[in-house]
Amino acid sequence: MANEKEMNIYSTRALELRQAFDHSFALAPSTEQDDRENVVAFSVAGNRFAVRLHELNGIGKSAKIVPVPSRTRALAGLAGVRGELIPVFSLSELLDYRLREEIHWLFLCGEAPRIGFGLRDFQGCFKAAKSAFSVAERPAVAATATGEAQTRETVLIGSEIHTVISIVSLAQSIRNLGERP
Amino acid sequence: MSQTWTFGQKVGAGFAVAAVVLLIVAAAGYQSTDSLIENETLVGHTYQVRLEIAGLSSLLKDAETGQRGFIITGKESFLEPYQSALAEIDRTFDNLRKLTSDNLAQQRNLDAARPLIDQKLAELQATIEQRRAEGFEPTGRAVTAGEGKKYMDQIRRILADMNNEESGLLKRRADSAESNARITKWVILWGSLFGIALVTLIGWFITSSLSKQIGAAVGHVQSSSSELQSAANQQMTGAKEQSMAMNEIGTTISELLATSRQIAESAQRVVQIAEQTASGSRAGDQTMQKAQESVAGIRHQVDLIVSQMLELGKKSQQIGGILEIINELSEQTNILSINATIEAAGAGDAGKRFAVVADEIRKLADRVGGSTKEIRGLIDEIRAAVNATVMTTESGSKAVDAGMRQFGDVTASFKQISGLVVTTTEAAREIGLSTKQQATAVEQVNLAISNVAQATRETEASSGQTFQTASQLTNLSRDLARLIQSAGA
Repeated sequence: MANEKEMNIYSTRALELRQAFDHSFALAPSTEQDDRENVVAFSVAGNRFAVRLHELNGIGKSAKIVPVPSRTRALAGLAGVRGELIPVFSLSELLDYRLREEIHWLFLCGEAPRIGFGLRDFQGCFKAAKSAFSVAERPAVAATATGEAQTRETVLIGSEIHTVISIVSLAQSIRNLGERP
Repeated sequence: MSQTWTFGQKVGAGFAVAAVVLLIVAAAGYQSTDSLIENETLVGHTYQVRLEIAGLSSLLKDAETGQRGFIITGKESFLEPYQSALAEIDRTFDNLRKLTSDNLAQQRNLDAARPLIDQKLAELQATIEQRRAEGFEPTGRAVTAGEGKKYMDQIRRILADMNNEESGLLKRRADSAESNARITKWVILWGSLFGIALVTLIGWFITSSLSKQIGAAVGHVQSSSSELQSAANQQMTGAKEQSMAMNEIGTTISELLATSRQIAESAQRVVQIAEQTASGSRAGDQTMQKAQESVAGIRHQVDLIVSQMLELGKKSQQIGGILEIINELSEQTNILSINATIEAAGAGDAGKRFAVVADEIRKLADRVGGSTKEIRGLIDEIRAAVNATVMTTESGSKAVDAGMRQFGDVTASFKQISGLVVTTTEAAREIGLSTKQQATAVEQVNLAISNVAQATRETEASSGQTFQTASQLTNLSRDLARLIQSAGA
C-alpha cells in the first residue's frame, strides 16, 4: 500500500518535471533584467567556497595530471584539456590549508595559456541574488600561498554561507610569481 | 620376686616357713625327748643292773648266812636262806649277763666272778657237808682257815667294780640327760621365740604385701566397677534410645509397608498408562512422519523463495548500475550546461537565449541528479531489504533444515519412546511384582524389628540390672578399700 503511494508520488513528480520543462520552452524569452549571478560552489578541507561563474572559462572533470618539478608547492602538474597543455594548481595548497587533496575537478581560468585549479569537492552551479552577497568583518582566508590577502566577501547559497574567492586574482598572483626574477 | 607372687603363694610361703620353724622346734624337742627317754631307759637299765648286782651280793650273803647258821647250830632249818639263794643265784647271774650283754667290761667282770661264785658255792657246800659229817669243830676250823672269805672278798670286789661301773654309766647318762634337757629347753625356748618372731614378721610382711596388692586390686575393682557402672548406664541409655529408635523404625516400616502397597497399586496403574502411552506414541510416530513430509514441502518453497530473492538482488544491482550511468549522464549534463552557460556569457547578447536553454538543461540535470539520488536510496533500501530477506530466508532455510533434523530426531525419539514404553510396561510389571515381594519382605522385616525391639527392651532391663550390680560392686569395693585402709592403719 505504501509502495503504491510512493509510485504515485514519483509518477506525479515525473509529470511535473515534464510540464515544467515544456513550460519553459513554451514561454517567450523574458525581457526583465535578471539581477541574479551564477556562482559555482565547492569545498576545500571542509570549508565552503564560491567562485563567480564569469571568472571561469570552463569546468571539467580532471584528466590525468602529470607532476612536474617546480619551486611552487601548489603546482600539481600538467594536464591535457581539449588538446591544450594546462598547468594545474591545487586549490587546497593555494588557500594555504597545507594539505594536498585529490583532484577530481578542474576550474579553467584566463586566456591562453589558461590555468587550471584542481579541487576534490564540487557542489554545483547556483544562481545567487545580489542581496545574497555580503562582506564579512574578518577575511575568511587571511592569506594564500601567494602571500596576498584575498576576500572578505561571502554568499548565501540556500542556507549555507560560502566564502567568495576570486579565481582571476589567484591566476594573476600565479602569473606574477612566474614573472619574478 | 615377691612382687610377682600371688596371694596363695605368699600365704603358702608364710605358712611353709612357719611350719619349717615348728618342724625344727618339734624335731629338736622330739630328739631331746627321745634322748631323755632313751637315757631314762638306760638309767633304769643301770638301776636294774645295780639292783641285780646288789641281789647277787645279797644272795651270796644269804647263802653264807645259812651256811654259818647251820654250821653253828647244826640245824637244817638254818640252811633255808642257803637253799633259797642257791635257787636264785644262777638266775640272777644270768640276768646280769643278759642286762650287761652290751657292756664288755661288765661281761669280763661277770666272767671273772663266775668261777669265784662257783668256788664259793662249792666251799659252802663242802663246809655244810663237813658239818653234817664231822660236826662243828672240824668245820669251824675249815671256815676259820678263810678259804670262803677269800672267795667272798674277791666276789665283793668284782661286784663293787661292776657297781662302780654302773655308777659311772649312771653319772654319764645323768649328765647326758641333763645336757639333752638343757639343749631341749634352749631349742624350745629360742626356737619358739624365733618361730614367733618369724611368724610375726612373715605375718606382717604378708599382711603388708597383701594389703597393698588387695588394696590395688580393690582400687582396680572399684575403678572397674565405676567404669562398669558408667558403661551400664550408657548401655542403658543406648538401649533406651535404641528401643525408641526401634519403635520409630517399626512405625516407619509400617508406613513403608503401606507405601509399598500403594506403589504396587501405582505400578499397576503405570502398566495401564504405559500401554495407553504406547498406543499414543505409535499415533504420534505416524503424525510425525506426515509432519516431516510437510516440512520437506516447506523447505522446497523456502529454497524457491531464496532463489527468487537472490534473483531480485541481482536485478536491483543491475538497476543500481544503470542508475550510476544515469547519474553520470546527469552529472556530465550538468557540467555541460555550466560550460554552455560560460560559453553563452562569452557570446554576449547572442548567447542569452542559449544561456536560458543551458540553464534549463542544468536545472533538469540537477533534478535528474536529485532523482537519481532518491532512486539510489530506494535501490539501496531494496537491496538491503533483499539482503535481509535472503538472510532471513536462509536462516529460515537453516531453521527448516534444523527442524527437519529435529523432526527426524523426534521421529527416532518416538520410535525409541515406543520401544522404551514397551520396556517401561515390562519394567512396571516387574516393579509391581517386586513391590509385592518387597511388601512381603517388609512384613518380615517388621516382625524382625518387633523381635529386635523386644530384645532391646530386655537389654535395657539387663543393663539396669547390670547398673545395679555395678553400683553394689562399687559400694562393696569401697567398703573393702575402707577395710584394707583401716587394717593397714
